[in-house]
Amino acid sequence: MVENNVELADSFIRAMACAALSPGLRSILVFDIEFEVLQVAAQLLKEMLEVSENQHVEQVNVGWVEDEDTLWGNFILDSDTQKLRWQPGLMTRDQSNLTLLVIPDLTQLSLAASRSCVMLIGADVSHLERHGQHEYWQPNICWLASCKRSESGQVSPHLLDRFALRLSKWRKSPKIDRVAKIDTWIRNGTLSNQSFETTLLPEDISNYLKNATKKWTQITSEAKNRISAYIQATTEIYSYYPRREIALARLAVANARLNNTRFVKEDDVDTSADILGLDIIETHKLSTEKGITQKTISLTENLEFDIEEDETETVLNLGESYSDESSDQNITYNSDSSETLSSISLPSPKEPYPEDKEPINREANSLRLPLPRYKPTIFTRGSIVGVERTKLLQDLAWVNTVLEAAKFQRIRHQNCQTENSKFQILSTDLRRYRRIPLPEQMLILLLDYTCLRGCNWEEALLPYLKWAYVERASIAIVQVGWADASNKLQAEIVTARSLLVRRINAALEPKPGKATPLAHGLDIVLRTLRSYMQHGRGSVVLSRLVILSDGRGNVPLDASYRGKILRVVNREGIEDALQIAQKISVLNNVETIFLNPQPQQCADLPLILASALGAQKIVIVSKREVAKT
Amino acid sequence: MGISNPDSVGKTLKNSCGKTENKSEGIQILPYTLIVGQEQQKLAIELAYIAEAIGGVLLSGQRGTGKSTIARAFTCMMYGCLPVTLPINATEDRIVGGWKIDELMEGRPVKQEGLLMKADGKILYIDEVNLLDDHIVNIILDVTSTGVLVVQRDNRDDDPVNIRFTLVGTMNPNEGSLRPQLLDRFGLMVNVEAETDSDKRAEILQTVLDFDEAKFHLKQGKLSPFLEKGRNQDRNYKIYLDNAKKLFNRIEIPKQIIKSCVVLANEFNVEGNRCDYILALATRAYAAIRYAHMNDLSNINKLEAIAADLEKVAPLVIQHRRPEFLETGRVLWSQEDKQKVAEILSNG
Repeated sequence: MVENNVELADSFIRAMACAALSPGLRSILVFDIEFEVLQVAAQLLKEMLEVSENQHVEQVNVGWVEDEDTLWGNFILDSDTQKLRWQPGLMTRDQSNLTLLVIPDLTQLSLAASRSCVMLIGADVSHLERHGQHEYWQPNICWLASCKRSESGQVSPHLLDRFALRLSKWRKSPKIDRVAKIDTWIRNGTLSNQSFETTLLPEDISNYLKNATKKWTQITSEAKNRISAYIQATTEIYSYYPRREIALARLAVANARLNNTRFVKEDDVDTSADILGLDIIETHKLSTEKGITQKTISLTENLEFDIEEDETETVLNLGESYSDESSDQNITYNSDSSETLSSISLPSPKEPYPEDKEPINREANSLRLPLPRYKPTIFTRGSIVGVERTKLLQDLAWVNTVLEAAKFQRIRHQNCQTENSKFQILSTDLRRYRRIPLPEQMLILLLDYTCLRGCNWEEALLPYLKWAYVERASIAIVQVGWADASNKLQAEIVTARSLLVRRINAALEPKPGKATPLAHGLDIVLRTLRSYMQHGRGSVVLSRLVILSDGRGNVPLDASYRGKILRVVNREGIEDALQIAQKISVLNNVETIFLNPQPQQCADLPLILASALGAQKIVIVSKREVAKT
Repeated sequence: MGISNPDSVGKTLKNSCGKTENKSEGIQILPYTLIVGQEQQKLAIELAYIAEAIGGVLLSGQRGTGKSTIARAFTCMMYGCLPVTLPINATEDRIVGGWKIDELMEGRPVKQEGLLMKADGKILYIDEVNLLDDHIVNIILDVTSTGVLVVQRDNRDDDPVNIRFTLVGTMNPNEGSLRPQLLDRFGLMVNVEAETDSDKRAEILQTVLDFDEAKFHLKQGKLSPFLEKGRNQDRNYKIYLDNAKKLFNRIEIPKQIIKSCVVLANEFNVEGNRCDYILALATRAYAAIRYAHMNDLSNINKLEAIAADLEKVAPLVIQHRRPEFLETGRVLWSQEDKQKVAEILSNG
């Protein structure tokens, strides 16, 4: 089902083998990997861990909807004994055996799971203090997570920092035979993703791992200097965090153990840096052919594995572990004579620490439990993050309530002293779901960037932004005439759960474009309002629509949808805008405010548009007037 | 309906402090004396041990700077066990106390003491303290401010119990700050930064790898000279700190130093009334450490705190009480602040 081209020369495979050897590296984050390939990687890692730890390894997948009881455990009713018993959670199960915990998409992890990861990954000790349970143990989990590099800004850096090994897309991933897989699914009648019938781990890698587990390797001072050089070089690009330096050192040690060498050398550090995606630093003599010869004792050669007897150093094939580009360079540009070069950094397409660079797209303090800032009218919506005591009968967590009451049944029956007493639930047993509050109010801001020059628009917007912050309202910014728009004839929308998301800040930067697709912007406003307030289980009950425009739309709605202008444009852009504005004006529970920038030309247009919207009109004072006062 | 014996969570270690369980099996903590650098963190936690009335230490700073390691290693060294730890997802029954659920299900109400009670006279450690649920923060605040634990929940109505513990919290300020009330319960705060000195960093790296190697050998049933050496050093260091603790009550603080504590608190416009008092306590504890270094105290008539002691502890006490910190959450202790302290003390 999987075409097996697994070899240790593949840097991805080598990295996983290193993680299997070194517990300090057992938190792996893979960027931009497809789910199916991740499953193959997980299976391979599982097999490697089983070899290195000589025990069964259980694989557990963590989805995005996991509450704390699922993760840490709770009481359940045992169907056999008809008694309540403690059921460990996903993260507290069977600590005597190693667990491989796979997180398919780190950006989709629930708040409870993210907090649990921060508590567990890389920790010396883990503590369970829940529901009468008091335990502590050494976490015995290998973590394998993935996320898109471009979406890493959605994840807390505090959580990302826990992942020691950063791997890029598995370039030489085994090809999955879909035909065979579908055939298996049909035969089994199930869509199991863990249907690997054969072992993926080749015997030679298994042998290398077995031998490497028996021996430790010492690090040389040259290797330590090399690590320092890498950290020095990377701090010019990334921030310095001690865990990154330690991860590089651990990876170098693991590589040396895999190579069956007695000491960690500079080459091991280079290989490790390449695996992590750091730019390779060339500081020493590049004696090309000699260098390659030294590195290319193939894995396929028959090597003796008896470490106790053979203490001689064996260097494995590291040449192929470099990226394709670098090996090409080696072959193409080999010179006959050796040459001493100064320090050169080769550009690397990999970004091991994107969190240092990617724009932040998460709320501030994203790992904290949400604070209820107002009394919500909708109790039964929002993701569940746990349960809490309640005196109200809304949104009861029935199972938790019954389980709570069950603890006291014997005592209550003894107190009642009646036979055949019924199951008693008292008000103190009541538990309700604790949910992330859904925003019930929304601020929609239509910003025409082409009319901002000279007007004091920031000050005019401030009260509405403050309102959105205080009310924890969700926010949508419709960008009209923005310079960075993907199509200048179209408006765009940026939405966020709250004002605290950083991309909102970026959307407020005044970057005027050349066209004003006002009608398209208003059309987006109309559709957004309908979607959030009228469709499905939308939670928004009140919207505040703020429009800042001079009313001079110059792109007809039709042209915006086509993405091109087919004929000469007169007033169509304005007429279309007015028509849509009238549709917006009849929507219920929408409070519309029009901010008039008082344009020099066509000064009546904003007033006409505001009237069509049925909006409250507010005049924006120009900067010149502000300066005068 | 009843309850069977709860499954234990794998190979766990049951409760530690003061009990007889094998505390070292499976869990290896780097010995305190082997931790390289981070002298301010170590100083703060040692001061809080010597002068319990300081109340607590907050270790706040960059990721991966050994905050949790220091907190655990110190407790292991001083108390011979891991600290009583309050995880951020602890439920209320485990914090204030509840019932033993397996017994309860059999109709036998047996009380189960909570973490606050368990920490009495010791350290209560909270990792990621800024991620604690607000409701839990309120409980801790209530107990730390009154020194009394009242359990009135789940049909329990216990008599109030006096408890006192040293609160040690670690946090990464990027994930949010603490409420001023909770912040005030931490007598000392360290703004932890990664070591920048390359020699020191190399030493840290070597220690981490040595510790990895030690765990590798222990797993194979071999002894680790590295850990043995560290534990022997820890034993000696514990004696030294216990001596300092004994000396604490013998240290006299001249009135001039107390006055300087009050002036410092005023000059830095700190919030609350506890700053000057904590300054005096920490100064006294620092002096105790200084005297404990000396082999022979028989020639010294009077053990006395000096201005230099106060100068050393001032940033630990003042920085998190300044209005700038409470507003921005950013710790700023500049060269100017240092000079300001020196000037106040020299004028005093």
